[in-house]
Amino acid sequence: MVLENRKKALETRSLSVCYNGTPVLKDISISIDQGEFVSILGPNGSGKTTFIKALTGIIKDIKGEVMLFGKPVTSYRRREFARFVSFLPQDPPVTLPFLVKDIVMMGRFPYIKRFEMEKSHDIGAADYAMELMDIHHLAKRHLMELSGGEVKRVFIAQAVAQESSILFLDEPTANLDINYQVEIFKMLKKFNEEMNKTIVLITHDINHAARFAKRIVLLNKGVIVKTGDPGEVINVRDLKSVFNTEVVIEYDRERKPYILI
Amino acid sequence: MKLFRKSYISYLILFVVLFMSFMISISAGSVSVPFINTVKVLLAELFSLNLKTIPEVQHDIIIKIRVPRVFLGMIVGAGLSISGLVFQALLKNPLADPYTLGISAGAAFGAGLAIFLSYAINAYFKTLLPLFAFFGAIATVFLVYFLGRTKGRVQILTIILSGVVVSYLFSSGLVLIMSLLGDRSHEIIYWLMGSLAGYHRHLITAAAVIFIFIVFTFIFFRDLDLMSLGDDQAKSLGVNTELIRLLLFSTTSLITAISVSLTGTIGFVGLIVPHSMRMLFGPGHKRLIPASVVAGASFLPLSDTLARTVPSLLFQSGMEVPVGVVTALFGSPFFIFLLIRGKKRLWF
Repeated sequence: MVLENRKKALETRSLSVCYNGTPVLKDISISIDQGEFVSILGPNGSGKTTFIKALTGIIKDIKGEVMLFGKPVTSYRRREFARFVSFLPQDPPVTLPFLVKDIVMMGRFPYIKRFEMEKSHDIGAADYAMELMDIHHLAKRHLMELSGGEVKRVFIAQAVAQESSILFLDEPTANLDINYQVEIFKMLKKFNEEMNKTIVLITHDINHAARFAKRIVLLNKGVIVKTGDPGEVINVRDLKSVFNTEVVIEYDRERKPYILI
Repeated sequence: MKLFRKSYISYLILFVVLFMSFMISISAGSVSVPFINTVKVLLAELFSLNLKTIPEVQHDIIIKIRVPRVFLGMIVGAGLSISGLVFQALLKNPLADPYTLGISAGAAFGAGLAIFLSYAINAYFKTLLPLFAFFGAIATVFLVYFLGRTKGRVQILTIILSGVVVSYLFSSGLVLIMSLLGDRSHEIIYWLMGSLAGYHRHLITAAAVIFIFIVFTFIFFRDLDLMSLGDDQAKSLGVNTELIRLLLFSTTSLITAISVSLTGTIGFVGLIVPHSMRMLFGPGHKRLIPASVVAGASFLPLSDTLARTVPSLLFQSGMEVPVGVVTALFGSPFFIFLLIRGKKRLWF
């Protein structure tokens, strides 16, 4: 039963990306199943953001192939693609005073036809997303009045309202207080488990990655150093080779690894 | 400052303002026509009544001179406002408008060239002035847009910078023309400050084209919302940013080119109107587009009314200043006000 549900959501075949002739990603081949919770770890400049941007079609100038549900990403139309994949950028834009409810409703863009208004299903989806991210009370406030944590939750809600199968997040917890960090990871975990959504995120926090992700991809200098479940990837040797720092690894009650610096 | 975010009363207010602007603008002028007569003339025209009580002269002043002039002001005001609004959203820059993108300078150069040729070769060229201005504007847009493209991608900052550069280029070209013309260059100076005084044969056609493009722009209000937030965001939500930028850049440039070729370069309308509307209606284009169009159509005729009445009252009877002087007198303090409110809040 479980095996039957395992559908290949995303696959790359020797994906490479160059910026002005300098290779940033080299020959990456990876396959991600529907319902996985993948965390990408790696030092600054290891190509994490580029990797996610190449997968979400924001960077188009790529070599190799990216397949989404068995079809090359280039064969999707933008709008259609947005129904499968949503993306939370590292710094969500807060330059304009859009209302929170309007921002979340923007997640419905790929579904609303050009000459139509929002339908009840669109309103329902936006409502559910605000419920999940616990931002209902902010609905009529505007972006520029919110704290950093609230802004992140608003834009995650937008991505949730998008009802895509795969959700990419670039450092969803960066610059947030510790309580928000845990809260956001818990919400994502709930979203992943209850709705069988695929989650691929970048984080700098090895312990969060180890605790919440089902799989970790360790990236360094544009290549995948190691990929596997947290117990496999979080080990002294690989972390030292990638981050160049001595760490001590302990295990919690659920036998999940965590590091001490 | 989200006064009218919710209610439809705001639209009502805007249309009342538009109507009042229209009435004030056709009532005021150097020849005084009693307000009641103005109303009578309008009603008579609208319902084909025959009112003998009103002097022929007053009727003609209102119907043949003031109404076309106010109508021209409404069209160009709406056109310049929506141009500013759309350029600001597409380029994510609060300072983008026909002026800063160099389109006005390109049109001015075209107009200057037509005036120069009319003296140098044949007076006939002067009748081609709107056409020259139009193509000057279009040529500038092409130049700016393609200078702003690097490796097939449109770089927003590069577009703004190339706008500034191209603007300087055309301005110096115009100065060259003016120095060649010597004493006769005053026509160009008048054109540079803009005027609603001219007579235009194709006014209705121009109005229709601008109106169609405005409706076309409105279809993309959701795309504009997303693009004003940022390209990455817009793309990941399914907006075809490249296509829409090219499409709306083209239509907006045509609106600008038509507007500028009708009246000369009138500054600040494309900045003041969209920014004021953002303060009142928030950043969503579903409201901003109609609001900016109506507000622009009210603002420019009113400015023109000031331009043709106040100097005549203050200095000498019958004196007029170019309408661009009035919009600049409103615009510069407004901009200083925006700057004082702080860089982060420049948008609203």
